[in-house]
Amino acid sequence: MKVLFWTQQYWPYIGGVEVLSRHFIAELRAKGIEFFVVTGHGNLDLPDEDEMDGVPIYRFRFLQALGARDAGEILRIRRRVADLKQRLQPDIVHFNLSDPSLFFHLQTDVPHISSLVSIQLALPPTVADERTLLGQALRKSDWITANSGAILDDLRKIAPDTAAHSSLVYNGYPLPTTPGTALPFNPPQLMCIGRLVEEKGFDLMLSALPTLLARFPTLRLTIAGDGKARFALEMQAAELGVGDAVDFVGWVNPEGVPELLNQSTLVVMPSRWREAFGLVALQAAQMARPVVATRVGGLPEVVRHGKSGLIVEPESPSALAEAVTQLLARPDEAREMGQRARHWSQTQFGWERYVNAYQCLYTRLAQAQEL
Amino acid sequence: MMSSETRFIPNTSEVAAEVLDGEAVLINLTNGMYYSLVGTGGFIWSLLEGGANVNEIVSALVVQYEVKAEQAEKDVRQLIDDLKTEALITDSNQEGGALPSDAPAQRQPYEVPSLKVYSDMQALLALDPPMPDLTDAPWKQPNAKA
Repeated sequence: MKVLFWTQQYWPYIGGVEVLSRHFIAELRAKGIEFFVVTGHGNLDLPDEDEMDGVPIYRFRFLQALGARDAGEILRIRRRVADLKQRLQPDIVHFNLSDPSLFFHLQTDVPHISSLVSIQLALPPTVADERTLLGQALRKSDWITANSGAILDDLRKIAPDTAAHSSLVYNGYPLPTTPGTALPFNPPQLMCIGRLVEEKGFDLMLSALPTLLARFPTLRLTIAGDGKARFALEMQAAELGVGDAVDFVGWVNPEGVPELLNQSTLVVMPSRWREAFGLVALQAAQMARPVVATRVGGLPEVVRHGKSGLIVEPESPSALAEAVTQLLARPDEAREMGQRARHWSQTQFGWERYVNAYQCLYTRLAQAQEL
Repeated sequence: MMSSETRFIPNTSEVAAEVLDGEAVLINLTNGMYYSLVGTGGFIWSLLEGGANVNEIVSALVVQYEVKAEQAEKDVRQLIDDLKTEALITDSNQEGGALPSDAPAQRQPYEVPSLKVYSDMQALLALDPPMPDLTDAPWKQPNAKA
């Protein structure tokens, strides 16, 4: 079976989806499925055609052409994609939906190739409109997966006609080889990991910090990641007088994330936007870290309130401070939550379950095309 | 009702349009709406760009595609209505240009032309990219090609 795996960015980019995709492809290749990756160029200077881990990579300047409204370049890319599909003859195109490169997939639709769309982002209500790219693509796909119940519910509410060809597949993540260590409480260490953009709400965590430092003077906060909000966050920390308690460590190599998580007492995910899933919450759970997260998107499904962490309302530094205080003041409760989180990370969000779910879907879609 | 003699021109002050391999992409630069025309749609767009009127387009379609004139005229009028509704073309007083004169050895299968609209492209492009500020890989994979 041949799968053309389409994703906005791929290794060496290292967002949650990018790293997950690389592990996922390696796992299914070991089961005999042949993969090709179609992806965007991003900002790095990378070749159009490449190979990583034995997987052919085809890069296109999708977003650059669409963003520049360059109709000629759009058509040239469209032709290259059509030629590629024709040459590779995949059984399935597996599109990971997070960007408008979907336009090029839809424009090069081939009847005998099955189309699987995995939704990795909160859907806008405009999906209901058939004059939208998302609306057309989702209705035309042979199958749709959502990575959380919240996103699947959104899809079925916005576009009820997709109910018969959509299902939930929770994200999984390979269990790291590094074992989880004991939670440190002296000093307590908070961790935020992700892109430094407004939507992640790391500014809310900084706003909660003065209250927390009054109760736990030795507390430290590490913010791992980078992005356009970094300067503003550094300024905010300085203005709040908490700069000495905050470490901005930049991007962290994916291989180093488990070790980083091991340094934390708990992980905070103060997101404002509807996180489709929240992969960092799963990674934290794997390392037996309790998580304080906001009630947005799929996060309350990954973090079970009162069991594996605490869920708070978004946009509330005081709610964040209260939840963090509760866990830091009751170390036994925090440790128990971490252990339960670790257990669920291996059962409900297990890696093998995730890989098997897609292997079954691939098989079913390929067989349906043969009938 | 539009006259069969009316000619049209692309609304070039607001619309960027290109045709390649008979397929057209149109972008309204004012509101960010994206459109595409494939197959017969791309063929008709090329004729409209050349200043053809409805009669001339229908004649060309009948020569190139397996379609009767009545069906072709109905479809062309519908497409032109759609293009005008989206402000992609306007009426023109200019003379028409050259039309394809050679009949193909075999006419192509006909599909009703349709204008595909992608009204959410701007919203999708505004989504934050995963690593927007990354201009160099902070680490390298050992077996990655340079």
